[in-house]
Amino acid sequence: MAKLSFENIEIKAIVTTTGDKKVTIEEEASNYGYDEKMVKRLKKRMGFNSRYVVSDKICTSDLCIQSAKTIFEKFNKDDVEALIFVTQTPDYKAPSTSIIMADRLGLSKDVIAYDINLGCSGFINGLLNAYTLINSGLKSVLLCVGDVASNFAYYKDKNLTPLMGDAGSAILIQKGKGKASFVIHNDGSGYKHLIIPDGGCRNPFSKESLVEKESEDGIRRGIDMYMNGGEIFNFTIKVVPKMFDELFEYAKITKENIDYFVLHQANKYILQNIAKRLELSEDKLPMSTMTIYGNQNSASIPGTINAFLDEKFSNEKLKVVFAGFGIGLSWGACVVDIENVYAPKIEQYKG
Amino acid sequence: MKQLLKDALKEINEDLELKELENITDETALFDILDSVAVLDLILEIEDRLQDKYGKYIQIADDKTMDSQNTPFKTFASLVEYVEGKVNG
Repeated sequence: MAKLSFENIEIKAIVTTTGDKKVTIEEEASNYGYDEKMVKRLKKRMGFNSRYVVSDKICTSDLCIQSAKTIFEKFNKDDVEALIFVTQTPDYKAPSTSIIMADRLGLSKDVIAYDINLGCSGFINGLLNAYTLINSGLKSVLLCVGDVASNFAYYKDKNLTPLMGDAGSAILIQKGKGKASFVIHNDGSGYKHLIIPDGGCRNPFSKESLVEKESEDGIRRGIDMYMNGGEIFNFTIKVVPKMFDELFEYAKITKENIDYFVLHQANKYILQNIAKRLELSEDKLPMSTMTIYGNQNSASIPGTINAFLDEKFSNEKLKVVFAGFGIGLSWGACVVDIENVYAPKIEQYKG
Repeated sequence: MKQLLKDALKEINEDLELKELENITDETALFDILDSVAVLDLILEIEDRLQDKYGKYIQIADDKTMDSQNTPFKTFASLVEYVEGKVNG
């Protein structure tokens, strides 16, 4: 386990943009072969309801650019010395989308810019990178996180697609008064459980990559994301509760010190499990993001803040735990001081 | 414990309407009968009932829950033994 702590660094702004279209599970049920009874069960137990997705050819970078431009209405973009973009859906296989984004945002040609390929734990790892750069002397870092899951979740995949929403967040990190502690883990032995198998060097794209294959979980192609839901569930229940114990011990905190727990919003059971274990109400551990917006991948933590905690983050001094877990397999958590962050209400993409 | 688990299964079967769950025996092959949503449903139902009975949260899911070879949800008898272990452990 990697453990790192920082002082005198603050999150100054968090802005999230969702896809431009809202779709409901009822509207999509026929894609998955779900009857009315199954839709009712999924809504009741899994929390499926609606999700926000993008229209054709809108990229994650477009959503993040809208979020970043909102930040630059309040903060000086000339202060930004690095742009980190965490995504599984870059504009191109090469070059790094972050470099293109820096140009689109009119940032200095001297900025550091790089992409990180991560999903569910992407916000935690991205934040760790941003804190590390500030700790090394940079003045201001723009972290962009998110995914257009519509790009990799096949419309017939009943196992994955009804979960997924599209969103892009921008987060501004600068020198300041706050403290933060991180714990980070990875386990590549489970990489096959959540994977886009084709299109990389290991399995180059071919005609076969476009052939639909049917399994118990639904229909997908080689270029689409595959999720072994059972294995991911087993992984999550094994590592996430333990990670909280590790973070509490490392950061020398207890649950009573924490104002809010903002977790990756992929699995209602694990959210309820953590809430029950720590005896927290939903006020302290929001769990409705997936129900309204879908699983926003690396944007699900900032998305939850902008959807449900915007006023609290904007107006109060808080100590908050963030936790992300999923593809890789990768998982991480941090405790961060928050004070008067610019965190407006979540918005849809305007084009 | 058997009655608590039968009641939990009866509750989730109100939505599922599965004939196989109408007469549960020790050999009832739960993991073969239930889909993953129903397993999750059952876990939550059992956890709620245990919390009501014992006044504390007892986690039923673990890293074997969805493992088809080693899941404690394989049969009703294996589930009873497993949940008793959780309660007494």
